[in-house]
Amino acid sequence: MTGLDAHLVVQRSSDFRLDIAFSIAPGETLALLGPNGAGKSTAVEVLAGLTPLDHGHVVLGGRVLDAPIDDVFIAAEQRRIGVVFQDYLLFDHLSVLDNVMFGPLALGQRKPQAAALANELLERLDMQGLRDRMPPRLSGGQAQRVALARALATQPDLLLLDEALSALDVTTRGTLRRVLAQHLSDFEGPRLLITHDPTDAFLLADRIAIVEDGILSQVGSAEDIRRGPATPYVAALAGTNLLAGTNRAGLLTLDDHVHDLQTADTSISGAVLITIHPTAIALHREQPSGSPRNTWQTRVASVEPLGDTTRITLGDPLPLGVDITPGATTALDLHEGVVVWASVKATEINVTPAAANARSGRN
Amino acid sequence: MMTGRKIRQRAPWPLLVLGSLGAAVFVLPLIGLATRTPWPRLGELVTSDVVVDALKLSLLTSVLAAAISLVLGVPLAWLLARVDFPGRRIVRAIVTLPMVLPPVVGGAALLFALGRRGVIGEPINDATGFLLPFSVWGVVVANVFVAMPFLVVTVEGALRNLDGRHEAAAATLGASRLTVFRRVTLPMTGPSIRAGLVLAWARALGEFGATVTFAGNLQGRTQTLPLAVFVALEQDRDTAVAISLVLVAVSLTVLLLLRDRWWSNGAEL
Repeated sequence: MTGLDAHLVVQRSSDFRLDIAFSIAPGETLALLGPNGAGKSTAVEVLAGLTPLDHGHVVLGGRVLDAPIDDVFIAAEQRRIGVVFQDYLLFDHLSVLDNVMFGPLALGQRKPQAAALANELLERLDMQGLRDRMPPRLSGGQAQRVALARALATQPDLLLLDEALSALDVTTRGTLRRVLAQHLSDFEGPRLLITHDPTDAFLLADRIAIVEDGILSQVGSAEDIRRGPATPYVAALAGTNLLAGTNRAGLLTLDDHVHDLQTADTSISGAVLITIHPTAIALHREQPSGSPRNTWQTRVASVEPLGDTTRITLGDPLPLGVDITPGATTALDLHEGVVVWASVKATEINVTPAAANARSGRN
Repeated sequence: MMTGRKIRQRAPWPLLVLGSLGAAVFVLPLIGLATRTPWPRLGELVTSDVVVDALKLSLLTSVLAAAISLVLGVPLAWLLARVDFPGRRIVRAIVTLPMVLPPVVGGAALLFALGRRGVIGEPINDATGFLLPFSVWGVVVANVFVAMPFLVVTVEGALRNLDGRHEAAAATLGASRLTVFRRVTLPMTGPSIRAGLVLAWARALGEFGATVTFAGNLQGRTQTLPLAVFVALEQDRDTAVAISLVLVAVSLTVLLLLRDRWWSNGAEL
């Protein structure tokens, strides 16, 4: 069989055990989504071969990489898994080009071939002009691309992205997510995206596996998860508002709703997927003064306490989920049917090309 | 314009007083040396055969000892920092022992091991006729014995402080452990290796006790600058002062030249 087949069991301490099983087909992106401390970094370590499994197995492209029961353990340097680490871990003493050439050279390629491959990758990632720069002088976004090029240069059997966007600030994130979406689809093997950010998972992955306290609480498409969240955590995550529409120079026309939104992101046009985080929407009883561009009047469709937050669902024209504190709910005296003003900053509206996710059949 | 203006901060007086006293500990002996220097005869004294021979030998042996310490000490530091072998704590203690041991004791121990009647020295001498003590190589071995621990301790500390994540990243890129060591670990610990090298060289240059015990005091063969100073103190005080001045000048020049570029622990790369 091809693709990745993994059953990861690691006893980290007496009270933490990771036990998750999943598979990823070639050309498919799976997001492993979960809160901090759920076991995501442990999963990265065992897949990359930096920590052995206690039980279970890792099989990649038909090759057994780790199987404690058969006493098989392939070391990290022989796994052919390309990892983009959370903080990139570029080699600061090597230039951008030398960083990308590191893998091919380590794998025994000759210098001219390694340089040709590295140059080609840097060109594809639009980084050709920076090839002689040293990593400390790169921006976060540039460093991420170099890290991606470095991982791809080894021509890996699996691409593993560990919180690849979390070190970036909000504005570069949107752009970088798009760059990533494009290069993920260029990579033909299985792709695993480790993240705590539902926006990354919803916009980049074909399927989402949610890990909580070391076990998978739900696996499915973004749509499955939004329709039937299995746990409160998933319910909170699923609250991330996902819309489809068209971007024309920042003006978003929605496919399923008669309402326009403004996004700060004008770099892509045409069919897009739009996400709005439920905490990014502000509610007011009076029309806000100096109103942001995205302000509209609506009614509260439902009020649902979720512990630390309250989930407000808005009615027409745009059925969005909003998370606010229980205190604010009381202060605004919110209950079903109340007329409210909703507002979202244009910078809080994320867009990504719909085409990048076409393979998954949802848009 | 921001340039040209600096905020003047006065140092708190207790720190100023104690710090100045601390500096005086090092400055006063130098002044003492300078006041006793026979300046008019200095040129003639430092170009005498004894001094020139000792200077050449000291430079040669200290540089060789530093180089050998580097080649053997860095891998040793890596083993101590990264490989969990049985008896590691004991090996580490033995390696750092020369830092606290009186060098004379070290010299004697070297003699028992490598001397004409030594455990290893005797069979080597029987087989090849080669005799380490009382030769230039004897001086080098004595220097390595006292100097290498400084390099090992410095580099091992740096290796332990390296969090290993860059090395893990290199492994996922297909690099073997040796390649990781060569292309990631070594460059990342470069500043500490250089600092350790300077410390080891400085220790070798000033070495006296182990050298005199193990290699003797033969002019032109094993008489280094410190030994020449010791001999001269008994016979000709002016020569002793002149040699001391040469040692001070050589050491100070090297430290001044290297300290900013080599010893800033990577503060500016």
